[in-house]
Amino acid sequence: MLSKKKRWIFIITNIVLFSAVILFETAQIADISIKTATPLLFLPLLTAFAVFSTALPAAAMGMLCGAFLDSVSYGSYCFNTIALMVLSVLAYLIANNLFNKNLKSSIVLSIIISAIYFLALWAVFHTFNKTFEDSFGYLFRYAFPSAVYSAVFVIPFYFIYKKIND
Amino acid sequence: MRFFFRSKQFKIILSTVLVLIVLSIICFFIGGRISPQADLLGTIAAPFRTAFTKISNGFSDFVSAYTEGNNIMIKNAELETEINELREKLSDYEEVTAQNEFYKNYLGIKDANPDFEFCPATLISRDKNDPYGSFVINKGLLDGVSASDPVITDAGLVGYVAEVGYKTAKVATILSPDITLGALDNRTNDSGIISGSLKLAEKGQTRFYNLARSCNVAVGDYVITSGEGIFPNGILVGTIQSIGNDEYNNSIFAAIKPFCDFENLREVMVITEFNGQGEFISVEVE
Repeated sequence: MLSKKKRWIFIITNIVLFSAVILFETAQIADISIKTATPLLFLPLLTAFAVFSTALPAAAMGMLCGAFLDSVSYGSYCFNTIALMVLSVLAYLIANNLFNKNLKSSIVLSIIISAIYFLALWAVFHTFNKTFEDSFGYLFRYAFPSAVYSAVFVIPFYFIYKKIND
Repeated sequence: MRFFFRSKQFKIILSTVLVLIVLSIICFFIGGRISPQADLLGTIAAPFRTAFTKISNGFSDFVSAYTEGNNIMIKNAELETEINELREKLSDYEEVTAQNEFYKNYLGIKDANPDFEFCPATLISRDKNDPYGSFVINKGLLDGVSASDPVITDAGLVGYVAEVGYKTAKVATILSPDITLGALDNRTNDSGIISGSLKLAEKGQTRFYNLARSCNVAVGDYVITSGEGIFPNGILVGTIQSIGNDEYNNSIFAAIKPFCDFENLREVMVITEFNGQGEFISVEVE
């Protein structure tokens, strides 16, 4: 159980982190893409959050981030809201039942979560592209590199949450 | 883990997911609207996004002015203006009607097309996961923007409003394969269809296909909209970069470099009204 002071630090850190990532992902602030790999910072942030949190807050934060992402994603309807919510809960379940809460496990978990998200994104929006080349081109040139690149960002987020929870 | 699946928390999460799935299905069938929860958050966040985008653009301008040298930027801007003027002159020469006067600037567009109603908008966000460069503008239903409205810049066609919310709208670009528009070669009047592909989108180009084998299109020709579909006729799209044989039938296709610079896009114009708007859609429904 967190002390009152730590609880406040946890809340403030979350507000700052999530606001920063929401602004970064939804406003035109900076582009950190490497060729076709574009990281989605929501995924490692939600993974790190879910590792040190419980199911309901993880789901709520996933839903909030997803809704913000849906507000800027073309043709997504509620896909991101549902996907990030479900993936946050999944990250919580894996972290608390199957994995340890250490850095290595968090990186593996982040890779799994990012891979599932980009695979789902491809399956829902790109499998029926006009040509075979467009469909699989997206999967191999955009989705997989982006998943790997996104997963790397779990490291700083893990250390921030670990520091608060210690 | 099995305790979790029997818990109240799981039931709450599951019911929320089910509600969201139903909402997605409803939004999909309605079409052209941003989902309610995304619209609400998008509307709340729009002023912040606009502010941060402006700060970011200002910072980016400052950095590029510092790194590249202010003089080079000024010189470049002058040269670009000169190129645009020359391009307009060439286009005017080739076009029998005087409609290309239109492209000089928005005022010119308005003069040439008194039926056009414009809504200026600022780009506030890009869909980073979309390789076709779709983006969000700070105007929506409350500003008179509706789904399927064409979006242009003074250089040429950008795309159309794919989804609209109360204070924001999502724009799909002509690089996207989701977009299909009728187009003409400005010089030869050969007609074809424009629709994007992933491979060409990576190079910032789009595809002009279904051209008859006997057509006379050539590299360097300008392509304009033909007025079929949701776009008014005569809007500049781009210039032909290369010509090739279609893999799927015996027609030919051309790769087009749009005049609009999608990378550095900041301000656009939404054409909210024009003569013939919606005719194609109503014919399709009938």
